[in-house]
Amino acid sequence: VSPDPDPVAQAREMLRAVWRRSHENVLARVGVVEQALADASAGTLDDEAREQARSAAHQLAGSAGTFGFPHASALARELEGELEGAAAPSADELPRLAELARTLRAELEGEPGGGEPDEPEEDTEIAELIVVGSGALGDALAAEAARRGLVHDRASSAAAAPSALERAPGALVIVDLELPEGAGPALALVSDAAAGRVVVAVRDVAGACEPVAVARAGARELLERDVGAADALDRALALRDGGGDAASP
Amino acid sequence: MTRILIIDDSELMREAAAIALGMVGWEADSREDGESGVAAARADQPDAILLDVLMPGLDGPATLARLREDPSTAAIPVAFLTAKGDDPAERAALEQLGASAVITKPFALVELAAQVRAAFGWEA
Repeated sequence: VSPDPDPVAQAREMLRAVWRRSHENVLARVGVVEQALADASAGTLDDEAREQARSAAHQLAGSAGTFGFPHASALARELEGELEGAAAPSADELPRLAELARTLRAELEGEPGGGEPDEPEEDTEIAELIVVGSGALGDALAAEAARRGLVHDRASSAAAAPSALERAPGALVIVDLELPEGAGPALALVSDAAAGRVVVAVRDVAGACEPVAVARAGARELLERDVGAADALDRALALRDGGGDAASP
Repeated sequence: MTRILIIDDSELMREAAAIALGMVGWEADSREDGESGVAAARADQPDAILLDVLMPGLDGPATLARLREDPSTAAIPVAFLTAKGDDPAERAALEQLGASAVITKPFALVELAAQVRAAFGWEA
């Protein structure tokens, strides 16, 4: 008698089956984007074809990451952005967009390699830094961490953060307090994360999180968001490595 | 049993969301456009609705307006599903329309139910 299947493993297998069944349609959507770019190069792209290509890119952007292709989602989103708006992409932009489309196709023709956002591969390194933030600052922090070669994880909401924290119990944590759920969940997240970790919070001066509340929640330091990603990361690493004193709010 | 209605023109996302919600024992029904989604909401009275923003025909905001106009569906909590949820301006604009929350696509399989709970203030 085989043991009861793990529901998560079972769900992932179901997801893979959906992907395999839909693969041809997925690649057809890439084809719509490629054709639109080819038409644009030839000067024959009409509004209807551009809208169809934008829609195809939009669907890929929204779905690919869930099926294990997070980079493909990002590529598709960039293509979607270039295809929307009042005018077709400029001639100068077309070679770069064609390259994006080629990369998108190559990724989607392969096996899921990036892993679902919640599904670390067996040999995935444990993150030393977790960035929690949904906006541009979160993007910039993650990009800066990647540039420095830091193994990092990213959560875009308070709801998504616990699984990242669970995967990396000792990680340094930087929280952009302007989270989608608002100030209460953001402070609760800081409090949870601060148990056994160094947490640096970043706030908008016009935001709802009061410095005293952030300190009480356990953040080692509170930065203003205009500090920028590189300086915020420098400060957080200094605190983690013992080179910085905790600042009072 | 918690019953969620998913309204999204992407078959991939409808199936992925149904699988993700099924993992926690929730029942997911889905529709591919706003018109049929509103009809299903009226008929089935789901506990909550996950609503795509950009759809052909009746888009997400117009679908939400229909749901809010109808007394039989006005109180059903709705969360938008959008690939642009990381954009604060987009998120703020959607929240102003009266949705309970905005959930960003792509979502993680094991996190969607938690995001839905958080969006609607439901206990785990």
